[in-house]
Amino acid sequence: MSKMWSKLKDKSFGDAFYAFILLTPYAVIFLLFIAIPIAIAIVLSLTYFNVIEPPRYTGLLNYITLLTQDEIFSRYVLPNTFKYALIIGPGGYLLSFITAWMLAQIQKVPRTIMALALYTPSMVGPVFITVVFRTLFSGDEAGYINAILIRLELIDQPIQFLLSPDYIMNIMIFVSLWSSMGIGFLAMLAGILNINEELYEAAYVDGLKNRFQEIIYITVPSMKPQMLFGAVMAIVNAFNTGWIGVALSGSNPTPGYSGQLIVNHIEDYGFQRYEMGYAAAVSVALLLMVSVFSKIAHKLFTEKD
Amino acid sequence: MKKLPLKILLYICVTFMTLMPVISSASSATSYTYSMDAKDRYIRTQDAYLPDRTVTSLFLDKPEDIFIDTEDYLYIADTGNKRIVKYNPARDQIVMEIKHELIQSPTGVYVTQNGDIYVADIASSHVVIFSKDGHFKDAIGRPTSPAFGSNDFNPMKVAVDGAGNIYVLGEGIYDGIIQLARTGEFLGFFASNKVNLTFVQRLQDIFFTEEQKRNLLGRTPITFSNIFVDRTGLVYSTTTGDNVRQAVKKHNTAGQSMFQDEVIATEDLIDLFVDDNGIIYAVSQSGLIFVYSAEGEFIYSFGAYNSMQDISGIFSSLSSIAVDSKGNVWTADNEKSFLQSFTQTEYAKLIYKALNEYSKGNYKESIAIWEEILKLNQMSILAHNNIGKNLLFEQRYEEAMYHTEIAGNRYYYSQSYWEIRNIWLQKSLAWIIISLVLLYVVYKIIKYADRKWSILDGIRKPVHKIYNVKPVKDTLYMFRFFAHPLDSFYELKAGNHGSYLGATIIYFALFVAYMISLTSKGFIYQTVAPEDIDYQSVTFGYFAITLLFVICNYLVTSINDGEGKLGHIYKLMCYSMGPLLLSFIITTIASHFLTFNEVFFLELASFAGIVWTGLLILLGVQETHNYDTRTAIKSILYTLLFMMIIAVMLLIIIIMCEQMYQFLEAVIKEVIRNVSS
Repeated sequence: MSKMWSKLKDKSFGDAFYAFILLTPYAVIFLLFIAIPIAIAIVLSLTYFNVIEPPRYTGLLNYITLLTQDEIFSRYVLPNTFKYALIIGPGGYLLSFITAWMLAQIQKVPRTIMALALYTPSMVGPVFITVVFRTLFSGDEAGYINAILIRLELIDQPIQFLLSPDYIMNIMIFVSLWSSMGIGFLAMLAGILNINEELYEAAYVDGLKNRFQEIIYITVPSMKPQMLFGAVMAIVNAFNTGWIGVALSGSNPTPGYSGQLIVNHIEDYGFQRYEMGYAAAVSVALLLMVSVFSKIAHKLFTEKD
Repeated sequence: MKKLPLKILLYICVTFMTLMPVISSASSATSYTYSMDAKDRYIRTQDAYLPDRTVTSLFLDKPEDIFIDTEDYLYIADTGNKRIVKYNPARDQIVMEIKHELIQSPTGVYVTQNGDIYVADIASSHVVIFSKDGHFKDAIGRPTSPAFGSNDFNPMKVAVDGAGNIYVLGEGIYDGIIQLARTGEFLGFFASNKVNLTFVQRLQDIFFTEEQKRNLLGRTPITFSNIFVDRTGLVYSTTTGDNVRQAVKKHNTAGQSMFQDEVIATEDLIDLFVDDNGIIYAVSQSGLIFVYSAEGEFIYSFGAYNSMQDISGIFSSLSSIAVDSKGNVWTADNEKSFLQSFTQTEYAKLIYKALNEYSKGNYKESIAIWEEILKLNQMSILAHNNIGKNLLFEQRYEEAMYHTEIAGNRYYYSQSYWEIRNIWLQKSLAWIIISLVLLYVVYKIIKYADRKWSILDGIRKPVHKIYNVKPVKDTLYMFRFFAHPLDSFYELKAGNHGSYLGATIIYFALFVAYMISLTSKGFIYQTVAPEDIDYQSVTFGYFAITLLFVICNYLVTSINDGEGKLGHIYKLMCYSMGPLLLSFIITTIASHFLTFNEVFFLELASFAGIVWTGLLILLGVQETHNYDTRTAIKSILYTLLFMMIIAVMLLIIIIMCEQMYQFLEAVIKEVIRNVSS
């Protein structure tokens, strides 16, 4: 015992020990909730697993099927996912930044109220969206949009917004943009508010002329970490909010696969067809996509020193 | 691929030169048969029908409707003579004549499968039912149901489905087709036509008071002109009026039209008939007979109008059509009161047979027949289109692409191309992945080796040399604007980087890229054929608009404390075009590899290009003139306004110059005439 204590008192070892102790909680949680599940998913993706029988090793078969056989994936899911992500990612990001910047310009009390109001949709999630938007876009005359259009005589029969392949994707995009002011938005708002006012004054003395220059030369460079955080959150959000389509249309797959995103595809295979191995392979593909895009975001936001 | 339009043109010329005279001299047709070409223009084709018999011996008086039953007897609503005539065309004799007190002005006749004869009489306001042998069975008057409202019941046309439901077209009823039960009980209105309001009418709706609205002229939906129920109980209708695109409708049970595409017809369709194979025949009052496939696809039209001369197969007022079981078309003219029949040519027979095989799912047989038709008429878009469709279902995608491209059917072309691309991807996916990995590895190795032993210096030096040539450097400076617009515009104005030469190179490069994107996109996205583009106005428009912008912006900003000179504005505009140039190049190349499935990515690319360039111009104006954002936006709006004013002024000046020229010309001519005489 005493030997150990003396060893601990040895400085170099003691530092390492304390570091280990202090790291443990994080490491355990990270392993338990992130690293191990990912590892299991990767292992499962190499098997055929239908929940009832034990997993059977099939090698890369699932990936080959995904890339060459799965026509729904290549015809609908992949283009849909990219379309959705390309709009929701940059769109939601820009929207978050612009609203955060605008909010930063007003007084504290209205700002707090507005920020809360803007943040709410992303917090309350599916329930709220189901209640509000399913009523708004309801496919009978009782739906608000249909009622208004009929009253204006623009249409003579209610449009099945949520069940029609022509509309569901656009409604999904609208709803997601509306609810995209999440954690990233709050971080950016905090970042903008933290910038030292003197910087702006100094810059105006140095010949800054307009608000645009202000944003590009002062605001954005001063809140790089928050911008990066917001970007990563936006990317994750863009790839992982597939539930919106299912919540709106009430069915998975969505009508005509028109709102089918990669997350829905995973759910479809995992929890409806019980092909867990295949679903795991698709989710590994999703993981790869998200990490590639996050890498790009890192590059973009850390390159400018 | 690019040679194809030329080839088609050649085909057109050859067929016109060789076939046309032959057809017209050998045929007994009195009117031309027209079909559609790939650009939706009417084009002459082989005769599909030949006029056969002209029956005047029945002494009809303004026959409004005819019908043919399953045994090929003709029923004629002889309106003027207040009778229904059952006529046996094979023996050319009247089999039966129905007269009844309720038949005052019979305008519609329909015979059910078991032989019951339904007559719509507009004068007696009844639908009268007779048994097969002509005995009075029943008469249905105005429905008493309150749901019928205060409408009058003046049946013009009648049709009956297999369940005995009666569909009546009532004069002056705009709610739709009257649907009656077998007993005459009112079931409801079926398939109302929509009132199409104009913009002004919509504004009136919003702003007028109730009183003002009452004084407006009545707005009534376009009315149906005829109805038909086929053997399977589907309801078809024709409509007169402006909305030609929906002039023929095949209704589903909810009353909506099942045709996806627009229908090709005229505004005065008056009657239609559907045969057992679902082929739809519709006639217009002006003597044209249109034939459509069961999906509403236009096959061809024939017939003509002429009220002066009596030529068989030409009408003064076509009123009705019916088709017998052999495919002979019977028509009635209600002005000159005769019946006219047409027989199918071999060409028409083949087409119907091919369509029939397709609907049965015998794609191979259908293809064979269509190819037969192609031999008769190489230009037949219909044949190419249908072969393409059949080949697609037969999974012969390459050939399907070839035929759908000739037919100009982008939807099916895109589908076949998707399949081909998919097959190719599946086959070569392994190689793509392997080569990507290899490329990455090689890239890493070279990078590492370069860092260690700088092996790339040999290449780097000449590249640098090229890069440092002034025009190249100035042109490539464009890319700095993408990420650092403010700094770049500042440097551009200060004259440190960029030059007139670079700007002009970009300016012309954009023009070239624009032209290429106009003319050589992939077939799916090339909606206007290159030979149909008006190059003069495109070129003029491009240079006029851009240069006008430069001049106007200079004029507007020079009186608004703008610091930029004319040259600065020219440079700022050219260097702002970078994103647009890039998006033109990307979309043009990508359009060769993308199908309709991925149309979004092209839209996004061009949208991003336009928005980015717009933003750059805004920032450029702001930086160059040292404005704040608000003033910059204002100055751009002023510029646009000023551009419009100048354009209008130039137009006026040009017109006046023309007048002046004409005036002078006239004067000089006058002088010359006076002198010489």
